[in-house]
Amino acid sequence: MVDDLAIQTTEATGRKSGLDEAAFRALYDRTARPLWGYIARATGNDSLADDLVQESYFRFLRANFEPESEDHAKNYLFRIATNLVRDHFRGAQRAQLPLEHDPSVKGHEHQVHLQHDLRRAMMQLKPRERELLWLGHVERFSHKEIAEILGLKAGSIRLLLFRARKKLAAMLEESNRSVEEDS
Amino acid sequence: MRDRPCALEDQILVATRSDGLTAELSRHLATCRSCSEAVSIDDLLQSEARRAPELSRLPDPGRIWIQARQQRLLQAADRATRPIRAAEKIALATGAVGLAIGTAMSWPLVRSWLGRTGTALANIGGDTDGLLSTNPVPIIAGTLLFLVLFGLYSELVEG
Repeated sequence: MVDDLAIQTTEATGRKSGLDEAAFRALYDRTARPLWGYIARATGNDSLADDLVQESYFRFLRANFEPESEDHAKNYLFRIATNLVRDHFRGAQRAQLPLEHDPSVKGHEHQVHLQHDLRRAMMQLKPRERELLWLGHVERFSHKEIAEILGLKAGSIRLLLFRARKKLAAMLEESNRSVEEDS
Repeated sequence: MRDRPCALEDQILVATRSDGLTAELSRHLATCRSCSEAVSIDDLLQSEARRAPELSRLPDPGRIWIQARQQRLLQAADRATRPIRAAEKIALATGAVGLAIGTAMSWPLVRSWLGRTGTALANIGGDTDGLLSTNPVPIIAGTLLFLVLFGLYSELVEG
């Protein structure tokens, strides 16, 4: 994978100096969508996700990071994104943004409802719980990788993930029950 | 419902993700609420993940690359000129201190010159020979001191 990234070596010094443009573009093509998805679900705001994706890559490049592998680069990117998301939530008390209607969600009406409920329930979770669920179930990072990205102990990830999942499941169940009662 | 994750959860998740659920794991899944919850949430989050926009809608990597490179060049230039800026500041400070000491040491001369200058200014329009014939050292020293202090101030203000 290191070869894939084509880590550039400066001729003058023989010292590694991060990625070259082609390698960066390749990394971007493979990681931008998952990173966007992670930030969008962690913040609940698609427009903000656009900005934070850009800022994540910008910081990644400015850091002149020398990844050992593509996975290493991806982990580092997700760590930067996590910090940006936290900075976002650490700022002044943010107004709860309305969940954006997404016309790309097609399919069965039930599925659309489910997705809508999921987004709503996700936004009721704590940012860290959302991050845990996304990294564990969508990106399928190992517990060790999740711990590195979120700055937690690897041994605690399993339980934290379990609790976040249980909380989300309870919220979805509750939402489902309300819909059934209404109809 | 127990408060700990099921020991078979990882196996179940790997198996369902790869459509490789064995009969034994299926039986477990049917009875374990923790595992069935994990599988349901996994499915839901996976389908939610497919909602990510096309790459073409995301920020252009070329622009990010150029901006980051510009930023890196600016940082490199800043780092490279830091010793020069530090040397300039030290030189200005040394010059200012030197001139201040010089002025203090030749203070009687400076004082008499200032006195003559005051008199000459009071007689503007009259005889200026007194001013012109005075010792030029304090004038030069005073001007240099002013310039050095002004330079030092500008340097500090700029950064």
